[in-house]
Amino acid sequence: MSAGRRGADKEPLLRVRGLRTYFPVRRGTVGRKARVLKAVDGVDFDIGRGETLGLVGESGCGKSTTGRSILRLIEPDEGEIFFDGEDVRALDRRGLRRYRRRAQIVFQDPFGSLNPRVSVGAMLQEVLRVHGLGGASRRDRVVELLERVGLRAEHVDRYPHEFSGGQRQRLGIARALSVEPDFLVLDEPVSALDVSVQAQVVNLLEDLQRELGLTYLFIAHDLALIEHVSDHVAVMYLGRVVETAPAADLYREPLHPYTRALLSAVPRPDPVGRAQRRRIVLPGDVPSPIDPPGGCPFHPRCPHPDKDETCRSTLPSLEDWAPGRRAACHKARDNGPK
Amino acid sequence: MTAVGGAGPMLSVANLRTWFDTDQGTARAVDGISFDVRAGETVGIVGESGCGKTVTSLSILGLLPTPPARILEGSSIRYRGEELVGASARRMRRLRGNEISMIFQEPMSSLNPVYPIGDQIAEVLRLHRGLGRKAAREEAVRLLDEVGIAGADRRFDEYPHELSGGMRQRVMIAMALSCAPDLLVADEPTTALDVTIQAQILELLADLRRRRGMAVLLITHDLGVVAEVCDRVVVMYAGEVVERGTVEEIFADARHPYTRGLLDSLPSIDHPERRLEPIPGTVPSPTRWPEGCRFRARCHLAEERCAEPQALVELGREDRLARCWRATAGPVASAGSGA
Amino acid sequence: MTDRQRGFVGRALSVVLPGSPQLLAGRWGPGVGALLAWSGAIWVLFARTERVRGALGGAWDERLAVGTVLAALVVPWVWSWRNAGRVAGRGEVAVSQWDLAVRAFSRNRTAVAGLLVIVGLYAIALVTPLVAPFDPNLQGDLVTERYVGLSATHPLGTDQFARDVLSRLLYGARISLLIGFVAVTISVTIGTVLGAVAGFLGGWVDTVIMRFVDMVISFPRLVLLITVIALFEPSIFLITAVLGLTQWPGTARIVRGEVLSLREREFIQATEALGYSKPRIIFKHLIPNALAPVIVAATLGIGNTIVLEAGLSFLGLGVQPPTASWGTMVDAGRGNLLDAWWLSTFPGLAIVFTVLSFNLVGDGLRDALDPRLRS
Repeated sequence: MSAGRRGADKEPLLRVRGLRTYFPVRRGTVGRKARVLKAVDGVDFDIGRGETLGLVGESGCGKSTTGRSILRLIEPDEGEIFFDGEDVRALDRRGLRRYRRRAQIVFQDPFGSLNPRVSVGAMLQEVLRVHGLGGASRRDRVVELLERVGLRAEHVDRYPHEFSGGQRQRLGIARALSVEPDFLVLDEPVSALDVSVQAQVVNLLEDLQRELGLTYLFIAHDLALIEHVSDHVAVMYLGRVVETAPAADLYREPLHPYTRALLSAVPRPDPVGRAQRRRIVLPGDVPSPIDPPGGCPFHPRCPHPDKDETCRSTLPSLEDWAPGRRAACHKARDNGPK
Repeated sequence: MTAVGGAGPMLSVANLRTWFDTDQGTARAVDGISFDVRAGETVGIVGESGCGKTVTSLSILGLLPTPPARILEGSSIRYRGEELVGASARRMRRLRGNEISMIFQEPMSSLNPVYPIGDQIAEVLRLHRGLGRKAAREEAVRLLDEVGIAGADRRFDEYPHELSGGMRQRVMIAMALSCAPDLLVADEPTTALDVTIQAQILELLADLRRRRGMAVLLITHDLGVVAEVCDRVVVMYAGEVVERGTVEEIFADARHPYTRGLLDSLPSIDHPERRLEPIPGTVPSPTRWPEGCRFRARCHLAEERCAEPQALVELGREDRLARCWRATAGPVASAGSGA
Repeated sequence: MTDRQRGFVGRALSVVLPGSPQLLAGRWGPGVGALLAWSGAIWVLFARTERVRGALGGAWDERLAVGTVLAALVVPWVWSWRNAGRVAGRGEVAVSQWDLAVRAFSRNRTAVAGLLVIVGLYAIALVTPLVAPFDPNLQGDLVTERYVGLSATHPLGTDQFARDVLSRLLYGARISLLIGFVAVTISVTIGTVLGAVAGFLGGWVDTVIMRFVDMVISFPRLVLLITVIALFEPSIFLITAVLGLTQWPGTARIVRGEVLSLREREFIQATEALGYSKPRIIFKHLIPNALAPVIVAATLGIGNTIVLEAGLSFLGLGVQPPTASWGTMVDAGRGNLLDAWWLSTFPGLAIVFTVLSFNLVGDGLRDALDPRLRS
């Protein structure tokens, strides 16, 4: 869902380098050994203005934490975050407030993301008041926001529980839009919704991006959805980006064996072709991010035939393999064009 | 209408109506549905939340609390010819233990957190198959092994919280298999799981079905999953069956606008550039189904004739029906194709 | 009848008898409440005209009593009139969580009955100076009027100093209810703020506050009370303060737990993402959502405090004679249980009914405020 100005050499709106976010894990009070959960462990990516970066991965891979760390809803431990040339991690309180008018978030849970005790109008008015927006015609602005996301003026006095899941998600979007941001983190914005409603919200997000020139970080576990909405895609596994590429390239010829397995595992609505399709079924579960495997974190599950000692001992870095394409795999060269 | 090998279908649901009495009025959650499951085949029930698919499965298993639920006069659920509506609680328990098993979406809440997983399986074996303590343990280990749990002997003594979501679902399947069921009812078995784990579980189910010749009734909202594993499909909307057919017929030749709409709502991994065609609005509340065709208010093809109640139209092939007067005219056009 | 006509009839009825349109509409709780308050006020005005007139220029509690009577006269009337229109014309547009809770609560009959009793008790406590038959400390003829049983002049008899038990019971209600209410208000305020701050800020703030909580909890309350009362002159103020200042840790723990789980909820994270200030998040978004269990605990807490105060007074550590409180009255009648049974029985019953009412209301609130019990 590109806004059409994909200037490759232009400065990206968001640049993330070496982002790390760890959580301390307390294990009993006696054997007080400080262990950390490396939720995000070295994430790099850029997002160009007006573009959508799809961040995809399985649960626990750190994609949500990445989104929240970028907004400093969770303080990252290391790394650089540059938003429009500004160092986000160095912002003071006032700077952070300014940043929050430009970068917003839409959450997954349409039931938990709205304060149940505040009516829709009061919720939006409060945002406008806190940021001194809307001027004398705040009420008009609230109605405008509601209409923008496909709701109506008479919804102003209603409470969250009086709306359906899809409508609540629209409310979450209206709230994020109320500060007139440039950038939205969309954290699984449709995965709690029914299929038909999902499509409504996806289309709304696409329209908003086109009309308002928004930039998106679209976090989801649904690969088909990510392909549909993204210009670029970054695949995460155990706190790291293992592959990033323009969406079309990544889906046509994945470089990383994990991306391949992921793509082959997606059930396709095509019963006729199912006999021919080969699914790569990965063995075992995703290891715990508290003590991830050494070397390449994917090696215990990796189905690559040439897996060797290097994979077990050395952590592969995210390297350029083709223009715009990066993968963290020692064997990525062999994975190239089949 | 279906009689395979003269024995008839294994499970035959006819005109099932399960209603609930609530504060807001009577919720007609399941409102006159019919379908068959034959031995060894996988039938999928698809629909969005609130369409009545879970109530259908719970009705079959006799697991709904009555009240507030009630199964209405004229409903029939026949398992190998035996009527289950009105069967005694004792008979249903015996059936659930020995011939029909089930697995649910959230394996965590279906397992008792205070007992090791192996004990929970062994308990079922001792209760329903009368095995001794030692034999039950051996059989439980064998089952855990069969569902692909590595080191089953060691895992026997682990507690549910020590296992990942995928592992728990395997344990649930092992438990469901413990009585060698002929029919497995799986209610959203992979919805809570990641794609790679979902692939493992679907593979496991397909494998078990091949080896054991067990029939599966799969309840899901995910058309992709249906396309991967089902032989035949029942599409539900607003408590009714709106379309029935083989999986190929449903995906290639949808005759009900709702089925078409569901397919068009899905982002396709093979055609990412296509704009999604959502179905407008939301599923109505089961206490207030619309008059006439229940899908009318959301249908892009609705016209005056749709205000009348729609019957299931037979489409000439065996077990191929759609609840739309247009159904005989050919496949439904997408909403976006400019009608 | 159209809705409009029905509304008109309802309003006409409310002018004659406030509460009647609500009763006719089947809403017996508010209806009975309005009717009782209004008729009670009328009775005071007519039966105690002289005292009302005197009270206008009297002490602050007497003037407060007059104000309460006037409010009890006017408020039901106005409310019933305005509400009568709505009883007829249904169809609310927006229903908040509180509205839902009120609906759930009003379906619970025992809880509504408990609430009526409590409201009635507080109303009577407020107007006691106007309705009590005697001065609570007025001693009658010590020869002829001691230990008089139930009679027309002394409906609940007299005590060893020939004082009217009913009057003392009414004045005692003021002490018990006041101490319960004020002590719980103090503890809930402190507990809510400290709990919310600890839960939201976390880190060392949380550690400091919660260790302080542990300290206060682990200190035996009775010992503290006895020490404080031994060191200072016992007074109602002191007892209230001690009870209030020792009860908040429970509330703080409840609120902290709620806040910890709320903080993970996405709507709280959204307020942070929107750049709201910390006080705004805590007071406008966290506390209102954490309040449900606090309200329940506070209601039950008032009952507990009343029992505790009665216990202290019974031991001679609480309210000091001659001031009447239910605890001291039970204590005073202790020696004469067989020959003057009314001395301990009535204050004892008063304690039981009051505490029972608070517990009924507390349970009702717990059910009404628990969103899991609603669909």
